Amino acid sequence: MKENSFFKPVIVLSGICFFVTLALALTNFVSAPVIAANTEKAAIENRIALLPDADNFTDATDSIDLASETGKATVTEVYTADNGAGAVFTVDTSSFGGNMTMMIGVDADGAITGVKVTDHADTPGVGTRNFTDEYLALYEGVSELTTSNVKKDTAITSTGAPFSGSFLTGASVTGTAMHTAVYEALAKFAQLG
Amino acid sequence: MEKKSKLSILTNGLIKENPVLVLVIGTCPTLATSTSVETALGMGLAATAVLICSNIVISAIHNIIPDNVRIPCYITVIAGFVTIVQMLLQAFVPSLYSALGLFLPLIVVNCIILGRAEMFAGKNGVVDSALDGIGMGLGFTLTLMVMGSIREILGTGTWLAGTWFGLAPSTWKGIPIFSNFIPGMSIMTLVPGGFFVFAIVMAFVHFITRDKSKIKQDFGCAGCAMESTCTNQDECEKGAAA
Repeated sequence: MKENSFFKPVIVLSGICFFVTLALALTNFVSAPVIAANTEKAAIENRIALLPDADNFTDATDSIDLASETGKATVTEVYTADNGAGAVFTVDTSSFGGNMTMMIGVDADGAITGVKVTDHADTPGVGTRNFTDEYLALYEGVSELTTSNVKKDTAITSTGAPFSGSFLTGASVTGTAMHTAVYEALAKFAQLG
Repeated sequence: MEKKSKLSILTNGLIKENPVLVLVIGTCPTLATSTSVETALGMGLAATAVLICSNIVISAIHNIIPDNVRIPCYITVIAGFVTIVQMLLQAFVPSLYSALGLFLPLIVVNCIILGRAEMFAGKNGVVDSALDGIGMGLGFTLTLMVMGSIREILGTGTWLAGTWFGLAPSTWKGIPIFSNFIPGMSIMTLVPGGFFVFAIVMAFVHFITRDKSKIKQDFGCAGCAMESTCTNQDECEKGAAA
């Protein structure tokens, strides 16, 4: 029976794989430069939004030791403002749905100017409530976090109120992961000098 | 099998053979992406694009595909189209790409697409398969949008909220339905809420169609995705007819 032939299935499947791969290569040829440009554009827009006083940014990732202080979050990129307005850190942290990427702006005095979650895989709803402007604003103005554990009462906002008193801060893995990332960014800012 | 008209092939997927509500396939992406109208429309259109393309290609090449490597060939074609759609969305509609997240690559294993490849495209011509892809895709999209509307309105109190793939102004927060006077029931945007709405919509469709929608006997072995590998067709058909 020809259906049981060994060669025909191999040849047909290989041929289909070849044409599919060719189509993917062509699509990648068209889309890859656009994706790279979109990613870079989004990163620049985020840096400007997080540190509005900066005029231009320079990559300063090599000037710090990237080894994690907290063991749970890692700084992957640091861009400093050319006019000395501060720096913007990109931090990878471990959250409920896996890796979460955040960007944190810190001014020249070491106070946080803004926090943004740029990529995550957390549960929509409970987890993502921590991404609201209202919650992220709690970090603005904070120049020191006494603990990387958001659930402790010693973890306080710039107004002196404990983070644990805020709605979902300590109730979700996401809130803890975000706090750890901010703690890591502030620890690395001290290395910039 | 009786010969169907082009119009009947096109419209079958809307209600009579609706893939989600009557054939009950593609349930997982339905529950996952019907949390809002925006994600429902995005998932529906992405899956429809893949469904049409894969149906056309599979119907065009099904005569040269040996039966024993049929499924790997179908999956390769489908995965290729899904990856192409994924790369194009990431490049040209990044907001939709972010909104669909993990569910976009999972279109590869969407039962509707593989099911239609096996049940229809592998046995019919290119034009009929394209029409089947359009009809089934529209049926899937409409179902997602109806469920998305109900879940969004009950879950958040608003309707049509979202960035609408970057086209909506940043001040757009959707049409307030209940949000001005009662808070949303967030369970409706989670999976349990999806099951509630799924059951209600499915019951409603079965109520209004009653004797018109396909039932098990109508499908027979010819309409079964496992027909070519099934070793128990006689028993199965007897059971269905009983």
